[in-house]
Amino acid sequence: MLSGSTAIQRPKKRGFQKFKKFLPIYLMALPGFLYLFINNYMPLPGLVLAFKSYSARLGIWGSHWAGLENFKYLFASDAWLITRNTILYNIAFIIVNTVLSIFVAIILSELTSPLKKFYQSSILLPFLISSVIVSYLVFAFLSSDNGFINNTILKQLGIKGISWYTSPKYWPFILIFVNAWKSIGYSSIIYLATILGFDRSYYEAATIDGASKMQQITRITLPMLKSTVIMLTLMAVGRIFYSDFGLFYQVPQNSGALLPVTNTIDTYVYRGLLELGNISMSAAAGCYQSIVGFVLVLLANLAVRKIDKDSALF
Amino acid sequence: MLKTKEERAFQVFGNIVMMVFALLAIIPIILIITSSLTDNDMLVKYGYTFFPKKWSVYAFTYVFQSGNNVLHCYLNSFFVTAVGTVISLAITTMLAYALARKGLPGRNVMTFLVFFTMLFNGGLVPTYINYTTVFNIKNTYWALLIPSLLMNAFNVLLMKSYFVTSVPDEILEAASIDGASEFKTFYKVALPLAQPIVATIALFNGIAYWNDWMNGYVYLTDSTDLYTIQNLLNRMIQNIQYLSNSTSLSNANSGLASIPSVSVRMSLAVLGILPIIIIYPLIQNNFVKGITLGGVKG
Amino acid sequence: MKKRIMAILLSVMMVGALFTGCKSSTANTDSGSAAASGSANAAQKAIDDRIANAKKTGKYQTVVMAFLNWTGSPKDLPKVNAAISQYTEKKLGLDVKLQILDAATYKQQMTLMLSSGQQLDIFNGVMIGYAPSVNNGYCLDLEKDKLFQTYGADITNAVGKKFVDNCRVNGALYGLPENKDNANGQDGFSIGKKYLDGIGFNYASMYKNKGDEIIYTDINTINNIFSQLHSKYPDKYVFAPQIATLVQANDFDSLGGDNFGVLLNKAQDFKVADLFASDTYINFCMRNYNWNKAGYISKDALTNDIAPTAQVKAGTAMAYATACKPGIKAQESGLCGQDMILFQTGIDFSPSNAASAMPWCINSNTKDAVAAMQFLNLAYSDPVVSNYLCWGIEGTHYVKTSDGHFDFATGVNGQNSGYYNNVNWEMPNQFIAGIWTGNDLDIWTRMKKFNDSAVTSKAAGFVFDNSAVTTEYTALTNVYNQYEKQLEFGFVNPATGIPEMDAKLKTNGLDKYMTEKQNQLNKWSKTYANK
Repeated sequence: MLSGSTAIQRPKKRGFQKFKKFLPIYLMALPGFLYLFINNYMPLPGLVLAFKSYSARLGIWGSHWAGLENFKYLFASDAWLITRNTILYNIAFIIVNTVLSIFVAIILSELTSPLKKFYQSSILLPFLISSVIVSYLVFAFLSSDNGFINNTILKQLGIKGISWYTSPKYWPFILIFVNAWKSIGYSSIIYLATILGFDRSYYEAATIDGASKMQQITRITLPMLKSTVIMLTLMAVGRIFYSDFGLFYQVPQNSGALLPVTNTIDTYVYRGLLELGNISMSAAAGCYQSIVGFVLVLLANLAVRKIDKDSALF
Repeated sequence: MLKTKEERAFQVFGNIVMMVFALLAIIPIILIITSSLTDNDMLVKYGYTFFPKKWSVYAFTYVFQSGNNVLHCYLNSFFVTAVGTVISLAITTMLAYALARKGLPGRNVMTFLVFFTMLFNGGLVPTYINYTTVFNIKNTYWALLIPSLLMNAFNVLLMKSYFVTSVPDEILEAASIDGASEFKTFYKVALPLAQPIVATIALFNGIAYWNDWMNGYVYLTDSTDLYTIQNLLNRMIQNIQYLSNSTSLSNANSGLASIPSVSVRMSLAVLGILPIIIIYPLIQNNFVKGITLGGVKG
Repeated sequence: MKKRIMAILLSVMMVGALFTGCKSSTANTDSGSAAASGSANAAQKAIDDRIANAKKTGKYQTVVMAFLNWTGSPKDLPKVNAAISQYTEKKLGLDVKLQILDAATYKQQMTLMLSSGQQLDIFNGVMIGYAPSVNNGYCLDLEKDKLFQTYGADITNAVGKKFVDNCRVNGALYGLPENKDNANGQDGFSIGKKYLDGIGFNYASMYKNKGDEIIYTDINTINNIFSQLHSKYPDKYVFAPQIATLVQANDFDSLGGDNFGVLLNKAQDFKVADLFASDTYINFCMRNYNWNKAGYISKDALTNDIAPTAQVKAGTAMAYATACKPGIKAQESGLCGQDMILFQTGIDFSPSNAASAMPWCINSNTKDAVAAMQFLNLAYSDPVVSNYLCWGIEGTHYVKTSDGHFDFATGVNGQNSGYYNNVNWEMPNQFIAGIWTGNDLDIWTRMKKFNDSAVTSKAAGFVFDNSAVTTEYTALTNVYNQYEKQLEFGFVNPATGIPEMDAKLKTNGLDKYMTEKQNQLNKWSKTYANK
């Protein structure tokens, strides 16, 4: 919406001059990169573990090569199921969370109520509760013996109690709900901050032109949020093979009957490796998830660049 | 200011929606609090309830008498959160600003290098070897501050995107033409315009530091003096779980039976979020001010 | 751009050269001469050398020993370290540092510490598992250069050759068993005394001898008790099931801890069989299915993570299954906060992995394996060290009572004690340490008898290495997880559920997995069985 890159329009400065001009900027980036180097890039060669048959006696480099042996278990007969679950849940989370977060952010940005602060802080609370505790909360609602839903709500309606933890068909909805409940407060803050950063003059002009509130939202706010949405979605795409372990393992109480709809790549790997303690195999899982996410992000970013260069990640 | 009919309708609708969202968030928290104050046997028998048949503060008594200095852990948490948030905010903001500067040679590569860390990491074992053998941070405060928390790519990119969209290049160029140094431009011109995102990232960093227990798990082994509150709470939850489910206990210990395992985990959750519930409204004023300040421009 | 990224990545890779493998510096065992001059001389020489060296440098070398407790590093650990070291300096010429980690972090910490080359000489294999420890290269071969024979001569005496041999992996010794219960009294039930009194059940007459703690009976008695309990106390659940019961109640040997391919019927031959197609499994599931149908089991049992003992204590359940052993009655009564009556309907059985469940191992990267072995030797054989490890310092943490027990020192209790780990089952030799008040003074004599008289699996000492079939293992585990509780807690009719699971296990490679087990067992039995 703002002018494109001005640097391109200027004649090119000589390399050194240009470097001198930008030196302070590079210096500002330095601490960050130093940290990334220490925290992320120095341990990165450890990825090689995925291709080794690790032995502590021989060390990371001394261990024997295993080729792709460590990856094989990720493609066993349930591979299709766990991959499907992981991807479908992630897509659902991206859509539901984005829509709801923007919805909440827009309302919060327009509200004049004195309760605004109360709303804002309370919706953030679920994000602060650990998954274990969330799983107990969900259990408080869904337990067969003492759960609120069976004992209070369904009883009042005269409906027979449901055995929630053995009925897979409800769980996609439950998990999507719990995930939204936990994360909307957090992600709506991002959108709220973005909206509040918008130039108010657009809105003032629109008001003078007689645009209704709805029109302002659909014509100004939403289009201007586009690049933030694209960026957040791109980052989410990068993690599409990952899943929140707490949500898929602890919240369903590791109930076996629910596995067909709750088993994801991460929980499959966890169950499989719990007793094995195999470092190489868990490294392989992480490697696999990263590579798929990486390729997908590169493709998605390429597509975005074609359509809207400014919104692309890089 | 005159409000149109539509505006009033919107306000009513907005308040109702937000009230529903807020209650959805708060009711479970209340349930955690009442459960933590319920007699453990009642919890086992009747489950979690808003109106316990028998109240009890035994879970809290148990936690405070467990031989761990809970208050000391709180102090550690506050210290780490405060220091970590400030450093982290500074590093993140500067890097994001640099990545957002149009015309900066190598900008795309730099952005990519940042983004790359979001997807790939060396794994826990190599990271641990790096931090313990190269940097020797095991059993020090550094261990709580530095690994994985000091800066994360997500926040950097979020902030970068904000600088790109909401801090117009013209303003920066103008400042530069007026003779301001790059750093002064950043500090005096860009930062004030970026207040909302700075406040947001500060909040995110604060939450991340407050909630973190992983660093303590991995890098603290010799004494409990450095435990943060989340570290202590998570360990207690897990240890009690193992202890009460362990079938290999050979030595009878009647003391074990007195651990109120169900109410204790709820009381631990309360102890973890209580300070935030108390403190957040206080700092929220600044936070909201930060967000709205940015909105005044234009 | 690509080139530049590559360049940066390459420079990073160079930094990665930091992660050179922690090469095991060969322990300074002058093995040849040691064997020649007799083990006692060699051991004494090693001690003398260390003392001489300490005199020269003014500092004793340290042995680090790791194990888990429930609360993390105890407050008084530095004091205990100092006390043990003072003793071991004289005895062995070395200092000891205990690295005590809580259960929450133990497994992860061990993986990290053993992989990173930090000093950690001796560790306990609990939670990490014996086979994974060996497969991941954490454990030193204890008989390399006759290390065990030369410097650990007292250990075999302390625990018995049978149990040491049970820790061999394909003949090689990577870990040492501690003195603990190495068998389980199968298919035991712990039932609240007040409920038995409530239905007027005459258990007192059922004890074989006066003063016994366990009633030996059959499952019909239990069925009878359960149905009476149910009609007398309809608002309470009769039975709280738990996962461990399958193994504790049935006389099969799971060969390495997974249930995919087992030895059935007291494991007296070497035929690996499919547990899930066996009568043992069907009967077990059927029993629970009937109990569940009769309303004995909570509908929430599948997801309830509250320990059965806590459920009994809270008054929601009246009975649960447990493995019996000497001291069990006091233990379970303590856990349930009420008197419990113990019944046992099965045999005393010791499966192949009983002794190697949580072995003491020496880190394969240790700088001085001799010192580590010598300290282990002392921990197994010297009551002074064992008391330090188990109970801390006399006068500070514990006192001796007039009747020969140990008890808390004045003003000390389990919560405020500076050293009360509550993990003596993990210590090398709790049998030679003091006996805590509330336990019978002859408990360890009875425990030894119990261990020795139990029916032992013929495959005792066989440790299955599943590294060739990890793909199958992970898939099988995921399938089994899906059905395990539903079948074993009786929520699904075994007649349909078991065949469904078995079929799914078969498509996920159960046969291949069992074949691997059988092959390894055959190879093992030819060489090592009955040796």
